[in-house]
Amino acid sequence: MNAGKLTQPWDMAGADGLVAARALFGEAVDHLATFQSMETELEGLPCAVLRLCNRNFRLTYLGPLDRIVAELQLNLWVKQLAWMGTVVLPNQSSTIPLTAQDCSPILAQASVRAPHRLRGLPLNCAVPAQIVALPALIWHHPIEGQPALELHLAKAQIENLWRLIQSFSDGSVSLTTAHT
Amino acid sequence: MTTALRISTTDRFTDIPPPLGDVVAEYRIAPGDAMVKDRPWGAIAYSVTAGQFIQIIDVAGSQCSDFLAFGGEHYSDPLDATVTRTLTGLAVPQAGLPSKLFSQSMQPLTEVVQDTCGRHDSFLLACTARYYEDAGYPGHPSCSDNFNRVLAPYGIAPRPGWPALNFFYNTSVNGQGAIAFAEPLSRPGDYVLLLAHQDLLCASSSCPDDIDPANGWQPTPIHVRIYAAGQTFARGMGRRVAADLPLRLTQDSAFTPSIRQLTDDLAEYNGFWVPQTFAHQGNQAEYWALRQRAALMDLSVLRKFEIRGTDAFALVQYAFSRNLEKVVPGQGAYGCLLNPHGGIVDDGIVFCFSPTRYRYVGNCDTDRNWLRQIAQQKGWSVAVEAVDLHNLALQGPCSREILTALVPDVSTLSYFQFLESQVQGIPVLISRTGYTGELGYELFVQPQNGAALWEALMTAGKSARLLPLGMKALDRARIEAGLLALGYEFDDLTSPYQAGLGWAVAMKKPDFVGKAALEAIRHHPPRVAVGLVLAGPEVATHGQPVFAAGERWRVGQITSATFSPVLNASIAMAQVVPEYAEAGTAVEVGLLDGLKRRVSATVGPLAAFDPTK
Repeated sequence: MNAGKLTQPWDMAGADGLVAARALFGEAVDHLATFQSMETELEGLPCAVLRLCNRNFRLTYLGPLDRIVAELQLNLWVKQLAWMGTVVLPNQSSTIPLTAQDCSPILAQASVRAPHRLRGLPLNCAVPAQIVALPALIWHHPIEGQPALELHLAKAQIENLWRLIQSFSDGSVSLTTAHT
Repeated sequence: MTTALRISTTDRFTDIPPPLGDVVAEYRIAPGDAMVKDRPWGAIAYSVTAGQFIQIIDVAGSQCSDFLAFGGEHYSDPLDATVTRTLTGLAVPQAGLPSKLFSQSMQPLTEVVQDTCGRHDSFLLACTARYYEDAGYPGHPSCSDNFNRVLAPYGIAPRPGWPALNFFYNTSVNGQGAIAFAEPLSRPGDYVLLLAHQDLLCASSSCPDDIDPANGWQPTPIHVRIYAAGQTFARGMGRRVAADLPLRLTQDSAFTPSIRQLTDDLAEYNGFWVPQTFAHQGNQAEYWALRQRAALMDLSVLRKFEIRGTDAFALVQYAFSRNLEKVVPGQGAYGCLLNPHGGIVDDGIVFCFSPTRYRYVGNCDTDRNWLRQIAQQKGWSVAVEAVDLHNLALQGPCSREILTALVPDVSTLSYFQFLESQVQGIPVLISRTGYTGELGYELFVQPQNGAALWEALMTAGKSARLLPLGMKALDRARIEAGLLALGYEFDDLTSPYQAGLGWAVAMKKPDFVGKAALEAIRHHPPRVAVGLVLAGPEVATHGQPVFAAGERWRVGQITSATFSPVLNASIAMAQVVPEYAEAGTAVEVGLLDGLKRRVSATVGPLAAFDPTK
């Protein structure tokens, strides 16, 4: 497995988090529930928007989101979280299988806390999970047009995740990690 | 090592409820100062294995039982109430989601499966020698000392005070931060049923406190039963709504098994397990499905009462706020039941089948006894019985199209009309009513047909991209539509004129419950219901103050609030003094403590969103 270019996500949150998201992406962004996402464009560049809370959003975007949001003069922060890393498991189907047996080995090891459900997770949805003992946000969304699993986790844990994945796949997996 | 004395499971106890299942051990704990020879007193320590169930029973009522659990290797990972409160977001453990009790290392030790009391303490220590010393009772037995005694054989070091989960201990934190306690709410036989998530050493006490109301000044026994693993006990919270009604455990509706396939996010509401949101879908998508297409929701929590007899009309005409003279068979009317001082007992719909048969659909189990009481006082010949019907609401602009494909006659139904028909052979009553402000219908069905009806409607709505809808989206929709909720917009101290239901009071009727009081209230109710549109995106909450703009005094308070996606505005329902109720009046809503931040708001109609239906 391999994957294309990956960017360090932007996070934005604050009292005007939703106001900013609506200003940038239109009303469609308020159709998202928590842990749902959409693919869109911002100033001509592709952008994936994941809603984490009522007023908290995470975006994958190659442009200068901090500058764009600053122009709105709203009450929120925008930053790239220095302690958070991103890993992509590419070529996932449009829906995560309903049973652990049908999952990739790494997903079969993942668990989530109720009321979240990992099995059957559709495209453009995310879920906080534990992969063995590693806490990660599993985000199922298209990357360069192909369904993929984008994992967000502490940078300090990426090596551990890497070792875990290799142990399940006899060292045959190559990962893409985000460049900060 | 000593172990608590087990009672033979063949012993029969006549002073406690019968076992819920297959019992593997049971213990009777005498009150903490009884010191009965050869019988456990004060506290016991006992082991359970993962999957077993622990039932802690308050034998005589009003008796606290503090609880400890130790998991991990060599019992090194104790139950931690602070961890539990933090992870569950609950001050008091309860059944449902979340329901687990966690250890210091954040591992689930046990889980509340059933709880018939609902009031416990997770903040205070098990009672200590220090407490009694400070009160002038040096040497008084304490739960903490009793725990030390029974845990010592397991190598667990003593503590002067054990941070326990204190079942049946009735504590509360007041607005000033003081922790108060009072006599327990538990009645004889009340219990908590826990599921062990791992092998555990547990300890339970029968609190010896006889110097204050914690045990009603009279400590009494606690009984602990251990049930075998592998059994299934329905999850439930006990609710008592009136002194003359039995305890009611949370129940599934006829649709809940189907709903559980689609979500684990269910919460107790008015005696039923109801979905909050659906997995991978979310309340936003559910909301927009309702506003743009169609949504299906389980409203079985509504209570249904059949009113039959020669004086059925007289009863509903006298008890209900609306004039039902012109409500003909096949029609319904929304209004409220009132008490003699003009307070709203309940709101609901009266359906007319004939002059001798009506059905009232409302919110309260107590409605039956209230209607019976009125009938008895008046000497009327009428029977009022609860009806076991469960109901779905199909709501949204596409609801008529979906339902007409199944029941063509639905197309002829006007607002508040109903018909009896079949959906794919399932007998149903269909009314054109709802709680969303949208075009919509409610379908009432016998419980045994619930699953089939759910499936039929979900299938019929597939092409219209119908979604099941949970309570979070429903609450947002009903606030937009200005629809009232018991406990938020009204209670039995609120008149219809304050709640925004003045239009539903037929003052021209010769007589009805509360008429004299309402005659006096109607011309100048203390507050009236209005809608507010707030400046900015922040959402107010129930109880927050509404101020006159730029002034220090309050003119009302928020009853319900939400962010309206369809209006792209933060909106609220509020009750304000009549002088500030005129549309367009500028007011301020006090957020946080009411002082730190005030947000401007404009008074408007109660219904912020009122689509054609």
